[in-house]
Amino acid sequence: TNDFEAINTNPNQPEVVTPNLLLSTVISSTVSRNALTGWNNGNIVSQLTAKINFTGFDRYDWGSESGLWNHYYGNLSEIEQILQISRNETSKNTSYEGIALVLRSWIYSNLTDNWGDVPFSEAIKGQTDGNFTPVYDSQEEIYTGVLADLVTAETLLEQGQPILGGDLLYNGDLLKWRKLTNSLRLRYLMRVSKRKDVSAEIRQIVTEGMIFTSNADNAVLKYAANSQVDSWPISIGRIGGFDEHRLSKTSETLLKDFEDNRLFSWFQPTDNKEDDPNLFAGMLNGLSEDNASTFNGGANNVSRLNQSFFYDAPDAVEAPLMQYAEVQFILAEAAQKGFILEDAKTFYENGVIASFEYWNTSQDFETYLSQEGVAYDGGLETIMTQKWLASFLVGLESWYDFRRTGFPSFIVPGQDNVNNNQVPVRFLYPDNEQTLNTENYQNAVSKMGSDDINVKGWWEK
Amino acid sequence: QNGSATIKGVILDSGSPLPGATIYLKSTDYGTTSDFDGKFQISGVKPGSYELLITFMGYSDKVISVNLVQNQVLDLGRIILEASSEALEEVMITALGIKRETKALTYAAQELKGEEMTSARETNITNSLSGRSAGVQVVGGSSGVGSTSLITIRGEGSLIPGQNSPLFVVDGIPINNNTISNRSEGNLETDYGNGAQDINPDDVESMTILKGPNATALYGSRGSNGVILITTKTGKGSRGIGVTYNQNVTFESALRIPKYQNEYGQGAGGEFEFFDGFGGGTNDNIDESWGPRLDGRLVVQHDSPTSSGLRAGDFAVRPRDENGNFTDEATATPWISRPNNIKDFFKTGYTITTNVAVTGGNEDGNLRISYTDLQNEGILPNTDYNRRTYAFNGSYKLKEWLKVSSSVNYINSNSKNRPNNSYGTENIMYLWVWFGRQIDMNSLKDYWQPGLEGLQQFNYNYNWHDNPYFTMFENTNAFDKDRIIGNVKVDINLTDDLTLMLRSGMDYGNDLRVSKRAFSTQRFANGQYREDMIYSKEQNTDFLLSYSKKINEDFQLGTSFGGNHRKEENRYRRISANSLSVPGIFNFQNAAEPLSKTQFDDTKTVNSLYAFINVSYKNFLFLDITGRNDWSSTLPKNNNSYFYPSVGLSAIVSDMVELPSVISFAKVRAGWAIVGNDTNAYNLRNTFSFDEPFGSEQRVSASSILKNENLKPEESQSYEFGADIRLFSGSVGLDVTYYKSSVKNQILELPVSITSGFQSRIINAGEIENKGIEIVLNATPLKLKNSFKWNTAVNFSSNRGTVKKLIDGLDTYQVSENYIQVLAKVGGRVGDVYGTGFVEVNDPNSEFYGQVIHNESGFSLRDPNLKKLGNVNPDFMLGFQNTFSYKGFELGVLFDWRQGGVVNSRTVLIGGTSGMMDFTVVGREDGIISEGVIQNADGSYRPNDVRLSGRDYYWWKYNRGNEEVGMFDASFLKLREVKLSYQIPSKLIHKTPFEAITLSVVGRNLALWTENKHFDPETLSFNGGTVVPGVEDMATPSSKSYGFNLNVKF
Repeated sequence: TNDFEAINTNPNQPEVVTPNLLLSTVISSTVSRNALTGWNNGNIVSQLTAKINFTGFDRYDWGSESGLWNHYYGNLSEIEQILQISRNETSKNTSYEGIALVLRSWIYSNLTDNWGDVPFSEAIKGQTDGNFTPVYDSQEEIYTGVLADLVTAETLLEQGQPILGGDLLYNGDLLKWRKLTNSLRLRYLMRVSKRKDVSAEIRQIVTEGMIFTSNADNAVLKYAANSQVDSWPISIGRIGGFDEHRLSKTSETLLKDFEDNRLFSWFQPTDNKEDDPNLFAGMLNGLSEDNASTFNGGANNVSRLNQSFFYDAPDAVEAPLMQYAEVQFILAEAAQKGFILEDAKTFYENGVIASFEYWNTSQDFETYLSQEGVAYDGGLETIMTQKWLASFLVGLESWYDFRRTGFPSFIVPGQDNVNNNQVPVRFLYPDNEQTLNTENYQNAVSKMGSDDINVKGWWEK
Repeated sequence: QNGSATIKGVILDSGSPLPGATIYLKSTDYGTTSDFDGKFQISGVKPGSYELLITFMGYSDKVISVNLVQNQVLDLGRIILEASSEALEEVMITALGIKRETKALTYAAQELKGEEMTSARETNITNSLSGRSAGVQVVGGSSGVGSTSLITIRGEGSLIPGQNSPLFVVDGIPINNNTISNRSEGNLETDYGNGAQDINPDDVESMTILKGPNATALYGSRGSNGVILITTKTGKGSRGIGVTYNQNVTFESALRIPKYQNEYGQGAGGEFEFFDGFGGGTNDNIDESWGPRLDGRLVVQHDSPTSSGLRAGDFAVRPRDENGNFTDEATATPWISRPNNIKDFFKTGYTITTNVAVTGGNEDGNLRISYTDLQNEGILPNTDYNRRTYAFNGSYKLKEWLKVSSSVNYINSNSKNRPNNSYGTENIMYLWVWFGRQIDMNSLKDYWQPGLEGLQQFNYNYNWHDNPYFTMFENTNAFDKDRIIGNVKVDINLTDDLTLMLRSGMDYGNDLRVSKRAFSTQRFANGQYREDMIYSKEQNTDFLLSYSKKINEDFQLGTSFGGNHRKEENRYRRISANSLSVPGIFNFQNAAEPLSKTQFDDTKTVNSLYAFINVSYKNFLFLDITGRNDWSSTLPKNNNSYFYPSVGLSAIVSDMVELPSVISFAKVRAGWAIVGNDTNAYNLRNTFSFDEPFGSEQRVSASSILKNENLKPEESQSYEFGADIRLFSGSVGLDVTYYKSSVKNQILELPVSITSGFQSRIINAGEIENKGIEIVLNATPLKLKNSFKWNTAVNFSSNRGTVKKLIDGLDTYQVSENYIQVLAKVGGRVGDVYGTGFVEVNDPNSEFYGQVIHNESGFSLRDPNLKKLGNVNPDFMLGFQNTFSYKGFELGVLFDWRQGGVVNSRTVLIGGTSGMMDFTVVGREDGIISEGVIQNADGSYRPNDVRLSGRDYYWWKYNRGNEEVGMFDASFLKLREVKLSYQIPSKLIHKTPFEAITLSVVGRNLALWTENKHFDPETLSFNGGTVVPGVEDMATPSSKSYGFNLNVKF
């Protein structure tokens, strides 16, 4: 039995690794997943696109999205490992620690924005504390924690310890990580701005200026497209999966009204050879299966998304975490609300132009920005409408904004929705939580009232 | 022969003839068996003095001394055999291969003879056990011949799915019964079968089923789920050369195919017209059957001819103008029902098994060599399973005190294609839940677009699906597996009372699986080439020192001391090229992207020492005591040694006290045992796993399983009580067993909330109790003078598993999750199934009590709370075997009844939303009102009166998340086996070289009675490499088989 320990040592897998190997996993999987969530859920609920098949989500037949839940919490365990390694005396690295905190904050904000109260303070402590049934924290507590962690991250990143690999977002450029950190702070401060006075903190961030200043700062994952695992996932799926998504009537109307060239970047003309070859036609959101598939005479009379960009190429799409345009729109809103003193119009127009540039779409900005509906009129809806367009594929950001501001107001439930004409505001908790974390699940549900897709979270009340 | 003598006679059982008795002259090659009239004749015997020995199972041996002179014909006349007070003389092979008198056994065990499994045969020997032994549950797999069969004995002691298999032991050597899945790389699972299916029924002499820990205590940990001892045939008892030839031919066809509707075709909203299969026509992107009524109207379809001489679906080669529009015209063809389109896809499969065995022997030794060739063509096109077995078994007495023996089985099994399982395009059954009911299956047989052979498939839909023939013929999953199971053994008689056995054996397996995917496959646009290499080796070396002594008139003592060293080594490699450069070339050099790689090797060692003592008193009281200690490499240093004892007692009451004369034999037995168990390799410390790189960045993932450095061995304790009673001179036999076992400190991979950072953790937890009864009834209700005989056997068992305890603070253990959740709740029954359904009126005083509540729009309300939907385990199982024999004829009929249990059908759920299932015809034209109520503002209810469109109704109700809607009673009754055999009278072949010829007509799984008409509830699904019971997930239909068997002895 003396050789038992050697026999029972796993020869296939290491017990110790360096943080770069984990960081590449976290970034590639979560940021890519964010784009996919934008494609499958964000764009649909915000009606940037519409479903022509399998219209359940578009009709608000919503479930738990447990795959997304598992994805987030699954990646939090890699983040926890990075934190443990980078905080250990022998392998200390404040930059990896800071990056891990930034990514962790981002994931928790998504979790609470999607489900409401979720495990946070006691989460991911199975190994360290033996806690396998973490309590659900309130959304308010989570945001307090997220914002504090981002501040901590900024101070850690400021120390400038070098990053040795694994950084698929910025390739070790710590300045850009600091800009992302503060840009995310802006995002989350604005998120909670109905419940908390965030103006001082926003002012301070703007003053310090360590935020995105151009599209070069964008937090976006570029697909390497060497193999199926590092390619834009839609491009390796069945074409039917790509094809379920179509130009929505909402987008068609707005993009045509504004003569917005993103129409041509994102969508393609209908396939019907009888039609004008340049005809772009959108469909209504929230139709039943039969009504969707026969809408406007069928699938070839409704515009697909731009196939050469979104399906045929494995690396044309970039997976976004956050873009410069969004930061400018947040600042525009902050200025419009008087949180900061700068000129809202400038931020707004910067945001609009940044989005066109991001999508590599040529547009005569002078004309575009001066037309009615686009020209800055001091109203929040104008800002939110352009922010909405700029949120294409950026996870579920436009849904969160809609829940917070009610804009764009033209988002109304589709005719065949099954949710009593309300836009849902959360996903159900996964079945597994009922089974595996029963007591905390039940406490969370009783605090919220019920496990229902129409129960509002703290920041949107 | 000149001057030779002849002996003849008739063997009788107090009046009726006894066919099949063995008659031979001791120490010679002369011998025969009695024919169906009980007659025998041995000719050509050299004159001299002999002892004639007559043996027949269940009867006392008879020895007659004869003295033969030249040319004598000695007629011994009527020889009457005495029914031995039954079974008393029966011996059974028990743990460690030790032969014991059945009457001395202190536990329940059942033995099956090889011949019961060879005429009406199953390719997978595991299936042969179904219905034949009380307490044994076999669930046949869903991929046709060659699939995994899940076998459990006395319920699920372990909560870990797939870890409840009994240990299979072949000639003393443990073999693996693993099912190794091949999920990942975007491929669906393929079922390559369970390890025990490599055993060739033709080479099996007997199988002993040791059910409880008492019987298996000597096998240690691995025996905790029962042991199946397989003894292969030897040349023992043969005199001179014997040759047998067996030919078995069976045909297989699908037993039950889902019932599809035949009134509406593909499309949506009642509309369809094909253009390019991508959505260019009217709903030609829709892969569901909500289209126009199949009334013969003319519609352009995928197979409609075009003016360019092609098919409308040949989109890649049809002529186009500069704008890309087709320039040819497709001619509409009749839109008609094709009720048999899916049925016709299945074909009649066949299995041809040829066995030739040669035996030989003399007083000092014997040998048997056997060759078996099995060829199967499946019921799905281009699927097969082939197996060749070379078996050798020999022993030789080198000295009076020294015997050497060896048995070796070399088995090669292979297939050019095994079908895929689970939900996705690679599974053929998935294609049928998304299909057009109007499709002429023949139109898909020519599955390439002309001129683009190897590059572009032809299909009815290009958005989602692969052409089913393309899938079967181009996207294959082959395997080729070599397996060697062998041992060498030395038996030494040290003194008259003391023997020593030394043995070493190996189970070696090497399996290469090769998957190919052609260009234009939905999942692999540029094809795929993948190899999975699975190597396994298990070596066992053991010794056993045995001492047996008659101490005095009353006491007999047997004692043994032994030890075993076991080493298991497994290697797994998976390499895949997920896109290829050149079509049609399947190798790694043709990879168009970096290869995807996985490697996992593991090693495990267990050392054991054991001892046992048997004491018998006056041959009617028997005491067994065993003890074993294991040392396992998989457990932490301080906990890696564990001891377990067992005690058993049996008493032959009928020999101890005077019982009424109807009771010819009565025995009671009781036993207690503890069995320990270890775990798998590498369960102590967490490690990181490698992922495929992203660009040039290597990636690793944290372990999703929290390992445990403080694991303890698990411990199961069991009691068993039983009685064996035979009545009416043995014509009725009743064996009853009650058992209760409880597993403590079970090593579980306990699923935990992913919010803890892990999906599961490995712990010692819980107390699972299983209790049940087993009843085996054998009777001969009718036995006539004219040799007509009716034997009947009933195997009944009922098992209840209960979760007594988990760990502190935890009351639910998630056994499996595959749409439905199988949960073990403290106090609940093992196998309880939970899922979601609809909200019902829960006020028992309401007139609408129990009805489903709907919202104002007429949609039923979904209940996010999990509810109990039943239990996957049967309440009881009953096998009912009847054998009728008359002269040379024998008719055997076996029914297999399982009562209780539930199964979730994904086919019904998804086929319900896609308009494929028969029930979706209702309400298409006028809509449909969902049954139930709507809640009024004041809380009262009114009947639902909102009419939904048919499609909306089915879409909502059969949504795959509403598990409750897809639940069915899994109870079934199967006509498991019918066998009619005829042995040609020996007088007819007297002058031929043949010794015996038996011809049988056989059938298996000929009929099924169950609640649902869509699928066989005896089904398995796969989830992440684990076999999951209770879910029908796009299961390939099970098959019925019928054919014949010819057995010739020379």
